[in-house]
Amino acid sequence: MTLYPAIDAWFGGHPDDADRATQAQVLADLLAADPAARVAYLAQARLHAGMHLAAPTLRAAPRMLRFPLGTGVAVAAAAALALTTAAWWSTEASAPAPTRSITVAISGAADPGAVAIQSSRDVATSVDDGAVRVAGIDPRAATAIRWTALIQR
Amino acid sequence: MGADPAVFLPLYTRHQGELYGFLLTQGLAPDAADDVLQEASVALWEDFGSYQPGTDFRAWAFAILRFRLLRHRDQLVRAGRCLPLDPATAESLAAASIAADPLPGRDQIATCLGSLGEHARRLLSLRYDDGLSTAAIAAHIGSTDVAVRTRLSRLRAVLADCLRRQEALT
Repeated sequence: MTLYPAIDAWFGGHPDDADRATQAQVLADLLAADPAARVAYLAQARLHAGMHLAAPTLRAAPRMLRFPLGTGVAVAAAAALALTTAAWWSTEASAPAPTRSITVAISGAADPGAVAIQSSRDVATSVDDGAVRVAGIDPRAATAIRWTALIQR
Repeated sequence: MGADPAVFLPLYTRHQGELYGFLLTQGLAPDAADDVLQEASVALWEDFGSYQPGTDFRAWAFAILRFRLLRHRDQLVRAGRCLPLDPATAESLAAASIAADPLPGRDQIATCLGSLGEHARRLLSLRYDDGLSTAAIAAHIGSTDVAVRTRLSRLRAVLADCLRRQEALT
């Protein structure tokens, strides 16, 4: 559903509007008609986004990491990941230090389809139909994994 | 690949959080924002040869990201999975978000969260740390979806007010 932040940010005070699709349509119409509504909506959306970016702990929901499992992905990914993760965290200078040290290696050069992601934390991984699923990993590490895959492919 | 990671990475990582935050402000759920940012990152990497060193990397990256966002929305609309915002409204929201100040930072939000009670912080943690829907939160704490949305809406108003006061102090 688009207008995701609006669903509970904008309509939280409208208990009679139970149907979310209706709510989103009402909001879309309102945003199109009223510049002031766009300003107010954006303020809520920015707070919503800031809260997501500030979320300090792990997400419970499994995260889908989609990238092609070509041979390039499997080769030398760990070194690039370390570089990328360090660069990523260095941009977060004002943020608290990560509470969990995550070391991830991507291996499986012998069989590009058999990619394993290893971590200093216990994470659940599975490979299915060309996608690697990782559950319970820090979102920033997930970002680094994605980026590593892009560099290596 | 033709680009040099040593040149590209510092530029990209400096703006990556901002690019992701922008997608969240444009109505994408976090997982969808992840996907669009990933697609945009591929495009940035592959098109880096067209970037002129010394020019505004942020503007260049946002131009590519906005195109990817537009394409993502079109795909969802064709699949019947979202309501179409009219182009002028979408453009207005995107331009306003890019022109706005940086999103509230972790330190600011942490300070404001510290002023809330334990139950309120737990509710926000379920929503943002765990990424649960309001319906899932309601089931988890034995409440109703409407009550959770109402409570979250009020909590965000409190937080927004706190953030404004902090901004005024700086």
